[in-house]
Amino acid sequence: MNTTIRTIASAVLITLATAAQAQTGRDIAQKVKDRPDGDTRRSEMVMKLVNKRGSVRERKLVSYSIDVGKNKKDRKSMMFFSYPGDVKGTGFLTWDYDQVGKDDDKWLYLPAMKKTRRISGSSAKTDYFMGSDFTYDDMGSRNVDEDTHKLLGEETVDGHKCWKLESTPKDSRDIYSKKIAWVRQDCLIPVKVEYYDKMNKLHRRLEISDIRQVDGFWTAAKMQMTNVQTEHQTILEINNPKYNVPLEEAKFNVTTLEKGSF
Amino acid sequence: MKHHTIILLFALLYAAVSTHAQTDEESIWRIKGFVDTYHAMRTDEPNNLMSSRTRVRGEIGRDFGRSLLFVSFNATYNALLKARTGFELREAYLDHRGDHWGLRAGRQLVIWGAADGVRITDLVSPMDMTEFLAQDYDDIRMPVNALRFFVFNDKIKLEAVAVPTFEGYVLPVDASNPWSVLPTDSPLPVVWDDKGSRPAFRLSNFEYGGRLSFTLPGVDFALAGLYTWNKMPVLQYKPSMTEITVSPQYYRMGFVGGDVSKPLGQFVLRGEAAYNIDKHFSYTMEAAGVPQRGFNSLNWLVGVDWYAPHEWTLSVQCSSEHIFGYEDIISQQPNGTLATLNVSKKLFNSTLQLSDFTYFDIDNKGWFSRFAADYALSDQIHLLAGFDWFGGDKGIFGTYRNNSEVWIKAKYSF
Repeated sequence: MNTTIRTIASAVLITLATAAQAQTGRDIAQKVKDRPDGDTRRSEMVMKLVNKRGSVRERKLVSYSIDVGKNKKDRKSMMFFSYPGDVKGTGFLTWDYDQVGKDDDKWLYLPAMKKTRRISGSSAKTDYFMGSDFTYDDMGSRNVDEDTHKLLGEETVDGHKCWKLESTPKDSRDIYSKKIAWVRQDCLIPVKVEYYDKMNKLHRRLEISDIRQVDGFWTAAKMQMTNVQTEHQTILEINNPKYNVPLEEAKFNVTTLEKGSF
Repeated sequence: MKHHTIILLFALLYAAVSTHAQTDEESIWRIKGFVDTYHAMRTDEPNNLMSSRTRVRGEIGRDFGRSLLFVSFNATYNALLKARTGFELREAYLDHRGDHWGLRAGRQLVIWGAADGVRITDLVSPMDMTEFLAQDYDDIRMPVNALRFFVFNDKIKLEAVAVPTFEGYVLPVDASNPWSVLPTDSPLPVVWDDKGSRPAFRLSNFEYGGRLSFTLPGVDFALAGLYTWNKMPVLQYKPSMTEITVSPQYYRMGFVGGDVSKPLGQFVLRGEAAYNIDKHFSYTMEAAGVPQRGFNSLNWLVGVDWYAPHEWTLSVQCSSEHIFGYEDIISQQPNGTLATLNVSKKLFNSTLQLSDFTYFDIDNKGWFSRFAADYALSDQIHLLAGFDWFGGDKGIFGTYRNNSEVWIKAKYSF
């Protein structure tokens, strides 16, 4: 899903521009966050969870999102799980705010209980999403000023000129002490991100591939997050992304969440 | 359950699944379900089986544009309680949603409120207490035949509900059921007689009410009111020379109340309250001859959820019911207080979940604690094991102090 791609890219912070020399790390991170991806979007995601013995579990979901608020800096998103059977129908609704310090609004619908419950919009951000190696924060949007950015230089990765950007969270509750991203200068998408733990040891590594244009928007179709300490990895495949699809902001509500589809 | 019914059931399910398999992702079919098998053994003497059942749950939905037809059922084999073996239609309803209105008609679960495992305003769907609280909470909730109408926008939802047919609690009254609510220390045989107790199907017996809920940035809250039945019956004791007859009596009641959920950082604060009007309570056996009358009561709950780091979740609730104009003939105390504690932790990328849900009866110093370990063997198969611990001398949990049990469960979801 483009939402995820963009948010991971933003969360991971990054890059670019032709006037690179004049840019600060924050400028680059802001450009990554502002990378065009339409006002609305829909995609299907397949998440493969692979443990160090090679055993694979799968999660499938459909995601919708819309940019809202002043200057369309906020975002409302909804995800519905379609696989496996025991979580089929489970839905997440998030109202994601760009304002620093403002917690997101989040709701979880559990079909077995026929009940929607309000969940914390802050603490869950540092937890892992449905047993994967992506945190809720990785999956959501993040204001660039939640981190301090430092441009470390330029490197070429797989033939693509990249900025190397280091971002350090200002909030000590974040699960990483810093992250370093290699952001392609041509499309503002990071191709590699390294997350370091509180002991400053490499914890997770994100590799983004299959980057192409869809409907005129740069899109990454595959993301692989590896926890190098546990050797567990999550492969996220984005299928059938669509941009500027007709979605109404008013439908990003609990009633739609409980219905299980748009 | 008769064999041909089972065969027919599986044939229908197979046909539905096959149809589903032949369609693409935009299929209008929604198919899911599970097979589970659950077995429990008492840890006290005589270490007998407390439960042994295997069940198929099927859930089939089909979309027709903005409408959904949904059916769910259980097909159960219960080795201990033969009367519970068979086919049970769980939900069967038609749902339609317009841009700002909707309706749901048919047999359905109606869940209100913000409380977990405690009923304050959640008084539409009754409970199946066949195995007391020693089963999954979604198995305890019972559907009702109802018509619901909704009007909503992105932040406000108004729901009107009418329940034409009465559905009361299912109580364990089978003598072979270790969870039986009938007295076991009576000098005379105790006989259950529910003939004629069920309210008749007529307009004056309909339940109706509504709920107005707000989903806002930073807070959710709702106001609700319902003219209903107290679905937990008042038990009436009629002693004779040879036996004691226990019969359930159902009475009308109403409530007005509401609930609120407020996230605060890592926490979510929850509250719920209901002012119950003309609610009837069971009397003590000594007051068996006293005519029944209703009382008003205030039932409230406060709770906090902590979504702690590293996939810990902790939830604490405290609830109480104050009976106005209390009289000693009522079998429960004037201010019954109940606390709950729910702790869960996910491990190994959520393949293992350890959890414990405990009820504390503060007044009677009794408790029921359900510990569970849930291991995901694969995407489809979960293996579970647990321990249900009852303690105390009095009250609802003390009554079952000899019913502590260990249990195992396997579940295949499709």
